[in-house]
Amino acid sequence: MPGSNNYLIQFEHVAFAYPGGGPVIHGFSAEVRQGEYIVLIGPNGSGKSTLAGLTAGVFRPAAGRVKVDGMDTADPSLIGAIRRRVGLVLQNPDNQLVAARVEEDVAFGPENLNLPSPEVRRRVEYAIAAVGLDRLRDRPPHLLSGGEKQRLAIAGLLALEPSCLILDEPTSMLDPRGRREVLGVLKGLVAKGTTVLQVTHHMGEAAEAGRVWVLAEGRLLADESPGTLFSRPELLRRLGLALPPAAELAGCLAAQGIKVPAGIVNLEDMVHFLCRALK
Amino acid sequence: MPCIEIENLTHIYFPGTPLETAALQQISLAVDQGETIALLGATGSGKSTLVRHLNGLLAPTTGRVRILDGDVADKKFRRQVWRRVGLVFQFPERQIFSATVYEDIAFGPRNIGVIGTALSERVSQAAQTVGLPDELLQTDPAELSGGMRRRAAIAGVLAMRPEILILDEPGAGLEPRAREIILQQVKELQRVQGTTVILITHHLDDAALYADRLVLLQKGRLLAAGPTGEILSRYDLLDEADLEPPFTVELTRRLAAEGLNLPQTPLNPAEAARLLAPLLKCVKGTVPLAHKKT
Repeated sequence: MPGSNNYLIQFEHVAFAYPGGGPVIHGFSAEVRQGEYIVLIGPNGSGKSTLAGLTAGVFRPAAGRVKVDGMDTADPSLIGAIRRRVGLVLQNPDNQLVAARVEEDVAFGPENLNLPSPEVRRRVEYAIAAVGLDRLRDRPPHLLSGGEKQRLAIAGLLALEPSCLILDEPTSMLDPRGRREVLGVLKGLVAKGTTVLQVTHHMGEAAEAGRVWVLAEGRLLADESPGTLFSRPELLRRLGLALPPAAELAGCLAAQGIKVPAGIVNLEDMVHFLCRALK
Repeated sequence: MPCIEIENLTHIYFPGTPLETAALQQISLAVDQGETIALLGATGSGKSTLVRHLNGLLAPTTGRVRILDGDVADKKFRRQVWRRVGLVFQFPERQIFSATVYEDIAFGPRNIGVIGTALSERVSQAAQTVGLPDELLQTDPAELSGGMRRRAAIAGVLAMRPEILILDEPGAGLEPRAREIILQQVKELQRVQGTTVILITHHLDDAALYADRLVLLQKGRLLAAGPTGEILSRYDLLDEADLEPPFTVELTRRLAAEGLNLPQTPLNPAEAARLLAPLLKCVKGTVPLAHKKT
């Protein structure tokens, strides 16, 4: 029923198994609205990457349905339209760069859509500016730093003007500067209305999301705001996941009898609380 | 006693060609037997080039590198030093090639002539050190989870019983608990067997927990080397090396900017809570010692 609600992505009782393997995703139901910033966390092997692939239409569910903008990903006639709406960024940017120059790499997608060349040019300009690679447009991609390469991979997808970006651990191979660059780009995109679904092991990144999904053994165990999720650490401990350091400090203070307000998940929250309490 | 002595090491890739790049310049550093060192720096700072001199993969362009009881300028020594210095590359699980976990761990020692029970002892001990359960030894590595596969790959290096162990980002891409387990086990190895450990990482939080000393590289030069706590409280150095300070260090800096000075820089949340709790408890009474009015 396309257009019957305002969800961009819907998972309805989705199950998935790889050929010859056991089930990886079970009874997964969730919705994503346009413009949301969702971070997906979970132990290794919990099904995070599989879920990213299901959302982008790379895999088709064994049972249940995944709908993008009301379109069922199991319908082969819709797969082109779905992939233009949903862009998938992989962990290692080297796996998704194709051309000899930055600009050409960004143009690869829109050129393949057979768009008229002024439109291709417009989209390339927009995408390069959005990730801040203007100055490097003539460079060969293999001479870029890790962070620059990952931004280029994002630009290549932005040129397709997707409604939603799905990123599978986009920062895990980057150094701190590269990570800051990529997260800065994502925040900018979210602010302008792009929907972002990001897989990460980095709890500091999860703390910045609008909503956090916790996945374990293919099941959705929590779908909450970072403030709510990180103020009850039992679930995360049980799964071998950590707390963001600010939430961990809040927990340590509470254990020493200090009254700490709920929902402290990042440095800003903690500085704010301590300044108010101590000044 | 130093087991690594580096004097004025310079390494130039492609000398005399248009691609000539000075990857390391005038590095001097000594590492003591049994120390854990964290080698830190942004991408391209020369970390990987430096450790390749420590196991004989590279020889200095100029300068001197002495490892254990030999000099890497000596070709014969350089060719066999890899038996004694174990280097775990980034994403080492990509180098797994055997049909079973056991065979993969046994590959290195078997290559240097270890056979029979001596071999199986080495394999099971290495597996035990990284926390790889015995029942997994006969499985196909491809069936293991990411964390277990990483441990199997590290066990393959440990089975060589290296005197110096170098790990390049051993926790990258792993869930937090798996990362912690691997680092704790390496720390244990250092404690029990006196193995010298060099940890290459971008994560200052890991360095804060596990390293005795930090070595900061920047664009091929040695920016600083010193005890962990000392280096981590030098924001200027961390900024210059383009590293992200641990959360508690950043918190200390932000509080100081607000006129709230902590008596020392905490290196982890538990330590920060111990410093902050007394201040928060007496805030309603007298002004605490470290609290300067702005």
